[in-house]
Amino acid sequence: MKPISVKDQVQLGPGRVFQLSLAGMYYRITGSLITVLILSLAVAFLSYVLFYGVLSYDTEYTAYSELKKQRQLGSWLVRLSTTDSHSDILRAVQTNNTGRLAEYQQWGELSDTQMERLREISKDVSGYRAYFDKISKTSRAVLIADTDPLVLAEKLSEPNRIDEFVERVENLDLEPPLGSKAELRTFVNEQYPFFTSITDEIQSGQRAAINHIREATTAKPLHELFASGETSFLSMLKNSGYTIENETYNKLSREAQAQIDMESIAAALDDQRFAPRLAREMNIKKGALNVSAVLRWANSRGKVDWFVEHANGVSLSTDRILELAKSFRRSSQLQKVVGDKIPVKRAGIFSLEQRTLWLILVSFLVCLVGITNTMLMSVTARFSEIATMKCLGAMDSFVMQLFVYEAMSQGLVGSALGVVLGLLLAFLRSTVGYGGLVFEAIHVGDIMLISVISFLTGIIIAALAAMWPSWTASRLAPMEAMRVE
Amino acid sequence: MNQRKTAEKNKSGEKAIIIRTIDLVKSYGAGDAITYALRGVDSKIYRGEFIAILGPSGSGKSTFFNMVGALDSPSKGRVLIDEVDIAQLNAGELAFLRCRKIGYIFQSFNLIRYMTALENVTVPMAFAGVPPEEAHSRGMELLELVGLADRWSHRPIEMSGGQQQRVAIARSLCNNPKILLSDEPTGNLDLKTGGEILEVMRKINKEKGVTIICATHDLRLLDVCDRMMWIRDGRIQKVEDRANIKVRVGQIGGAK
Repeated sequence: MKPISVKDQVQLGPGRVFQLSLAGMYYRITGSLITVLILSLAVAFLSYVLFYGVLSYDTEYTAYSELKKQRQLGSWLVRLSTTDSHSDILRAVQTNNTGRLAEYQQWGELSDTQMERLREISKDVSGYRAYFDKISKTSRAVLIADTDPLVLAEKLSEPNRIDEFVERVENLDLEPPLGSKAELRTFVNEQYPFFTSITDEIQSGQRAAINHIREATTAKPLHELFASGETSFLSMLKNSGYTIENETYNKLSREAQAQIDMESIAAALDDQRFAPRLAREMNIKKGALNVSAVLRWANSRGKVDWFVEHANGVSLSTDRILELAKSFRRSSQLQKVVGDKIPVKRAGIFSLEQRTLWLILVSFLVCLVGITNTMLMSVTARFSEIATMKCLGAMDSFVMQLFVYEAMSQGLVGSALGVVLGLLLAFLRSTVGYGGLVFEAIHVGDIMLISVISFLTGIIIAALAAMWPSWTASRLAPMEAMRVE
Repeated sequence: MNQRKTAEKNKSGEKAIIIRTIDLVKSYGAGDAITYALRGVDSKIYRGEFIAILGPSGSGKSTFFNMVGALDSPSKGRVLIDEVDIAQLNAGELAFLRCRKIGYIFQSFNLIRYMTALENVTVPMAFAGVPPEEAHSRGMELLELVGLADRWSHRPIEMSGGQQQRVAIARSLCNNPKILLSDEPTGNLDLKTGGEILEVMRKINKEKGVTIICATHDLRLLDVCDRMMWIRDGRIQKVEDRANIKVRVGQIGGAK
């Protein structure tokens, strides 16, 4: 008889282990499904929050941009009647709004070097202003009350005022603006005067331009001038130094025309005999009658025909009113989406509130514990099976792999289900909230990215959760198999 | 290597030793709460013999059995299988030993519940890296040997206790082990089926020359075995050759 020789045990290939793992899962199908369910819920929560965040954000931002484009007339009317303020000029420099800067250069008759200096000084001015935004409300009240910090800079140029001011600042345990007293002194005595001298130049240039336009148009109301859409007015604007694209001008014309048309509808509603009839026709109270109500109501040709026929002094065609009503409905839909928020461009897919991020974290912890628990149950239920396998020559690594594969395949299925569920829920909620607008603002790339991230997170969670139970299983002593149940 | 050579030399003597235990001690707990399961067991088990280990519950029988089967490590003392100290083997080598050199038969059968009879028999061959086709045909041969070839596709739940135990025996033999360890193989079976199982084990011992170590309460085993070892309170009480013992079998398996 040959003596017993001992060698190292062979390792099983991953395919065979996976097969055994699948068989084990199939045997304990309920437990496996529970793990899949827990995981899919957690992944659904994560992906839902991310999906909904991106969808709602994009919808609001798109709506806001469209509204902003639609409503440019107001700001143009302001800019054609008063000069730009210090803040307007600072903002234009900061955002590098080339159109505005060209206007300022022309109005102030500034050289390129002066423009460059303006850019540099604007940084200091913004830094100086930001200082007062950063300090606490009480400190701000003590130092400048409600006034603009720039007014203070004006006053500080008087002799000895700086020393007095810095003393007060130091009494509040604060650093002086711009870091040190010397910096502040240079700012107040050199940079700030330069800034005001330049802005004064710009403002006087703009004032001259405004006056020129008023005289040339014999003080005709500005929105009528825009509504006319004449190229002579456009070239007058251009000649006075305003930067305006032809396309923008056309848009402004349309907006102004719409405003005038709506005013004529409003005038018709003042007719004391017509108004009650219209209210009856629209089936609303007379008090609720206004232009918005009419435009909301005017959604069919029949209704508008009736309106045009009976209203006095409305010279608009049915088609025009229908068009107005359509664009009105669109903008009120956009307005409803935007509300009074001012969305800024989204930074990434994780532009979420702190609270939401915590919620996601907690949901993952719960999920981790849940999966670990079901996996532990799976291990406990199979104690004798694992021990038997070890008696039959299974290595620790085999047992470990068995359970890791089990968790991974459950993770795969659970994550996939979760992502689909999350996407469905997010679309459901945002469609209920925003209507069809959601589908106009989808970023497919981001949606894909979120899907992939959620999917991978699910699998990683499953793998993490499986670690401890698998380790427990792999360390089980083979003699456990000997125990009689 | 030296140990191997000693083993060869022993062969030329009267009987070759396959397992030797030297002052085997196993204790649980520590300090005042220490409990001894084995208190120094010196024993020799010879190649190709059928040895029965007898003793009341709690005598340390199962502990001894686990030590000998390389399933547990002793607190003190050594277990030499073919003159190789198993304490010196690493995890991989222990797995190799359990997989190919030792076969185990359990009181509770311990078949894997979601596998068919044939799949159960082929599991250790899979661990040993035997190709599936070969494992399949060898598995069928073994099922033939234990008389269950026609039930190869049945799962444990669809088989009786005796049939399950026979599948377990087929499984324990699949890598041609040198040693077969069985812990109360007939404990969960009725008298008749238990008898059949013992018959199968005797056949294996005689025909294949496999060393069989069998812990039992079943006195019918005395008919089958070559030697008997009584364990009591963690010590060997006595060792006797079958030939030196007179056994009279009564009506319902009772014996004196």
